[in-house]
Amino acid sequence: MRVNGALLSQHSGRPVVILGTVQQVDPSGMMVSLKASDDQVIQVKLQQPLQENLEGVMEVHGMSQGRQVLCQSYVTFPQESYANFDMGSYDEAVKLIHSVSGNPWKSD
Amino acid sequence: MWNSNGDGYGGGFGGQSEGGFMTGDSQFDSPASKEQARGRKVQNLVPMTLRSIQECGDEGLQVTGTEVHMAVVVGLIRAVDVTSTKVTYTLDDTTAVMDVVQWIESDNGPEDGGRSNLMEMTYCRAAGTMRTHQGKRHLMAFQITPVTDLNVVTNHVLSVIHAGLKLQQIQTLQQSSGIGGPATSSTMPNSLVGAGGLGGSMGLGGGSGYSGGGGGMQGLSSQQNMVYQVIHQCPDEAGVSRNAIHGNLTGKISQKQIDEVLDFLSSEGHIYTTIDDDHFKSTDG
Repeated sequence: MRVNGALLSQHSGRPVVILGTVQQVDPSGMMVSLKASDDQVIQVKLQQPLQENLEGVMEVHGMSQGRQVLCQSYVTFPQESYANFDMGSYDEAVKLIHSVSGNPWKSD
Repeated sequence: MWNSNGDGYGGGFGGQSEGGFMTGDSQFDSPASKEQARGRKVQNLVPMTLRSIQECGDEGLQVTGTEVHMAVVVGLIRAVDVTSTKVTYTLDDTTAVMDVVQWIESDNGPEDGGRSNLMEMTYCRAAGTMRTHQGKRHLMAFQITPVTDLNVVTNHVLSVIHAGLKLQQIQTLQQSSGIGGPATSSTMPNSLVGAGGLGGSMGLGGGSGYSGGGGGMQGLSSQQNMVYQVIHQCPDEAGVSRNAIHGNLTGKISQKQIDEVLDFLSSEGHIYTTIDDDHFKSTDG
């Protein structure tokens, strides 16, 4: 289920998908600071050290751990795909997923 | 009568067999909307989540009870499996994971290059129909394209929510206006007054041109209608006398007006005189 920074901590212990811009990569390569769609910064804990130099927009799939997410897989996007990306609309969409009752994106 | 061999009927029938038969079928139209939908195949393309596709019953694709012909999904390719006849993409759209199959036409050799940008861990959009094979469901896609702009993802999320709510709205509108047809076209809230139940109610104050269902007659003013109702409801063989009508409607309509109305109604043919000029019966049984 897609979340933003605020919703991440609400879904602790559940599989989540969070999309955001890379702020900082820890020198160890195991932690990434990600600015979520609602401008909140969350920590991404990686299972393997990063092989590539991450920048731009990435989407993390993993388990929520409060303000952190334990990454199981991630997707990076080429610059052209997010050049005109409207982060605000994406954030609105994420909020709607969680607020509209009975919509097919929500599992419970 | 309407047989499928058109040759026996000569000109003017177009000689179509199945096609003509279907349109000629309208006289056999059953009120059940389901059968109507089967005869006239529902054609629509609805954005859906993979989970809704998987959770559909055996009736075929459905969104809140509305039949869906084709679905469009946006998801992450987790795996690609290429065989000589088809390519199977395993798609994950955060609600479920499902295989999307694309059959390869034999003469599409050089086109394979175009398909290679559908790699693992990239987003793509697939549109197609649901097929069940060996117990497992998959989407038989007629089109799969890579997502080049992330806004497509946002758009799809919103489209799915919107489609679900919109179809629900169409359904409730159709139910409330008493039509049971398949939800294909967009609907304007039905402006006709629904199933009457007005049954000759006299509660209308002086409105002219009252046209309604129920017991009232079309095109009569409320006064005329009241007089007509009195006459209509009289079980007497001889009809109701003019004085009786006056008595019945004292306070509501003046005697002079009643007389005028009676003249009008009889000239229109709604009522006729019986034993004498002062007794009236209505023409409608």
